[in-house]
Amino acid sequence: MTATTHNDADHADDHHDHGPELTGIKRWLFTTNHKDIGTMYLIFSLVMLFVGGAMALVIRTELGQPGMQFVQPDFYNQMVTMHALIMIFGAVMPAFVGLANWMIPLMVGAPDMALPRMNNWSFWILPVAFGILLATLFVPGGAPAGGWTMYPPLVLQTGDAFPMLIFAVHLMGISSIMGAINIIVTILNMRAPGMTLLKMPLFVWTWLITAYLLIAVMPVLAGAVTMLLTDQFFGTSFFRAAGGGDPVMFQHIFWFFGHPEVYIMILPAFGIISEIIPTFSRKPLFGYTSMVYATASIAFLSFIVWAHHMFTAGMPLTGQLFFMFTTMLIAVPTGVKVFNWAATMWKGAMTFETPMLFAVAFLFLFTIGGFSGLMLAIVPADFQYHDSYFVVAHFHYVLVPGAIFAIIAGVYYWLPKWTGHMYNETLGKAHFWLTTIFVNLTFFPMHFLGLAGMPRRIPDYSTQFADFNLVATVGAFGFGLSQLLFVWIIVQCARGGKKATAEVWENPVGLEWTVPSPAPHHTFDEPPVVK
Amino acid sequence: MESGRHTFNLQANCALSARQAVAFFSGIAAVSLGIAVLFVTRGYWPVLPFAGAELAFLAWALRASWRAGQAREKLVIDSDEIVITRWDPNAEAPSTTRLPRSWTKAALIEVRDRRGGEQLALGQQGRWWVIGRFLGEEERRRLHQRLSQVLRQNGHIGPR
Repeated sequence: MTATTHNDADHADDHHDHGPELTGIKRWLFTTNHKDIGTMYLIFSLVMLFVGGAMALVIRTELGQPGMQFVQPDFYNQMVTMHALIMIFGAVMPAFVGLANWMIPLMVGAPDMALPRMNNWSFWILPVAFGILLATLFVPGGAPAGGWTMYPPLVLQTGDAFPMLIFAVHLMGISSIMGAINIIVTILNMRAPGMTLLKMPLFVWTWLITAYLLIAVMPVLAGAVTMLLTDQFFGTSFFRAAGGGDPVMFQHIFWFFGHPEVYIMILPAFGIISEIIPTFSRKPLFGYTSMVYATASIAFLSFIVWAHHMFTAGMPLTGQLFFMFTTMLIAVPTGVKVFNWAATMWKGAMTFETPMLFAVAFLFLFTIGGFSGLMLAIVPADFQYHDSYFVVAHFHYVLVPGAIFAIIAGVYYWLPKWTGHMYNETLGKAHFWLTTIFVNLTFFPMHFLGLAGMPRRIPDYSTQFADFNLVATVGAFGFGLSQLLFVWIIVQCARGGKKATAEVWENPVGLEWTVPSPAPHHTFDEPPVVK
Repeated sequence: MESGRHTFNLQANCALSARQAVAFFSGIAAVSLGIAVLFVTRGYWPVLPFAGAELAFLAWALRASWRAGQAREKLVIDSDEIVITRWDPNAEAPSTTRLPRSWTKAALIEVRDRRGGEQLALGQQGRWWVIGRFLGEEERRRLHQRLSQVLRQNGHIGPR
C-alpha cells in the first residue's frame, strides 16, 4: 500500500458507527432538517396567531359597546401593543419563514438549506424572544403599552418591561437576519443545474427580494431600539428633547425600517398567490418577468416612502409632495401584479379548491387595502384620516385578508405535499366562507368608523360609533372561532385521509411536485436538472 | 478513459460563481452601509455597528457555502493503483492518496454525518478513505455501483 496522504483515513474508522436518528423532543431541539424546522416555524406561528388573536378579542370585547366594561385603559393599551408585536413578529413573519424553509429547497432542487445548523438556531431564538416579551405582562408596570412603533418619549415611560422589550426585539431581529441570510445563500448557491434566476418560481423570487429587504433594514431597527435603551439607561440624548435630541427623528428612523417591513410581510404573499393562481387556472403565470421586476420595484420604492406614516408630524411641503407621489407610485407595480393575476385567470379552466378560493379572496380584499392605502397617501386627506379607525381598517385589510389569507392559501396548497394526505375539502371550503365573511364583518365597518372620526387606540368612544363597533366585535369573535376549524383540518390531514399523489393537483408546475407526497425526509439526493 | 484507465471527476453542485457572489455582496453591502452611513452623518451612529456585523455574517455565510460548493475529487483507476486527488476548499494545495488497486474495495459504509445515511469509501486492510462526501445519496449509490464494476474487472471482486 502506498498512501502518501491520509485525508479521511485516520478518522474514517471512528465514523463507522452511524449515530442513531434522534427521536422525541431531541429530534425537534437539534434538528437541522429544513422540513422539521419549517414545521416548527409554522406551528409556532399558529400558536402566536392564537395568542395575538386572544389579545385582539380582549380589545374587541372592550370595544363591543361604549364605556369601560372589562379592562383598565392601561391594560387595553398593553393589549394593543402586544397584539401588534406578536402578530407581526410572531405570527406573520415566522409563518412566511416556515413556508420558505419547507418549500424553497424543494423548489430550487436543493437537498436542504445552505446553513442547516444556523437554521436551527434562527428558529429556537424565537420562542425565547417571545417568552421574554410575554413575560412582560407579569412584571411591575405591566407589558409595553406605547404601541408597537415604540415612539419616545411615551415608550420611555414603560416600567420594568422596557429592557425586556428591547432585548426581545433584538432577538427577533437576530432570528430574522439569520433566516434571511440562510434563504439568500440557499437560493443563490444551491439551485439545481439549469435553474437560472429567471427560471425560479415566483415564491422563491419574492423571498429573495424579501430577504434582501430584511438585510437592508434590520440594522436600522436594531440601532433605533439600542438608542432608546441608551437614552433610558446610559444618559444619551438621541431622542430626548431635553438633552438636545429629536424625538421626531425616531419616527423617521423607525419608519425607515417599518415601511420596508410592511413589504417584508406582503412580498412572500405575492409569491404564494403567484404559485396558486396558475395551478387552478391551468395556465402559466401571465407576465412572469414583469412580476419579478414589479416585486423588485416595490422593494426599491419601499425605501423612499417612509414619511407617509408621519405627514401630521410636520415636514416641509416638498417633503410631503415627495412622499405622497412616491407612495402613489407603488400602485403601478402592484397594479402590474394584480392585472397579471387577473390575466392568468382569464379564459383559464378554473376550479375553486380551497387554496384558490383564498387566493381569489386575497386578490379582491388585498386590493381594497391597497386602495385605502392610496387614499391615505394623499396628504390633505391623510390629515383627516390619520390616527383614525380608517388607518386600522387599511392595514388590517392588507395584513389579514392580504398576508394571512395568502399564508392560509399556501398551507392548503402545500399541506398534501407535507403530510401525504388530502385535507377535507368540504371543511376547507367551510373554513374559507366563514373566514371571509367574518373578516369583512370585522374590518369593513372600521372604514366607516374612521371616516366618521373615531380615533384609534382608545378603549372608550362616543355612542355614535356603537353600532359599527358591535358589528366588528361580532365579526372578530366569528373570525377567531373559525380558525379553530383551520386547526382541526390541519390535524385531521396530518393524521390521515385520502392519499395524496406526487403532483397533488392537476399538472402543477415546479420541482416540488416531482417528489413523492409526503416529501421524503431527505429530498433531491441527486440535483435535478432544469431545462 | 485510456486503455485500462478509468477517471471519475466528482464535483459539488454550486450555482454561484465567485464573481457573482462578490457582485451580489457588493450590491447589498453598498445599500446597507449607505443607509447606515446616512444615519451616522445625522449623529445616529449605533446603526452602523449593526449593519457591519450583519454584513460580516452574510459574507461568512456566502463564503462558507461557496467554498463548500468548490469541493472536488478526481479518481484515477489504473491497472495497478488508484489515485484519489482532492481539492479541498479549506486546504492550500490538492492532496493525493494512492491505493493498490488489487487490494482495494468500494463500499457504502455507515458514518456519523449531519444528514445521516451512508458514505462511499474506498478501503483496504480495514482502513477507509471516504470519497464524494458532497454528493447526494443517490449519486453516491450510483458511483458505488460503477466503481464496483470497474474494480471487479481484472479479477478483483468488490465490494465485500
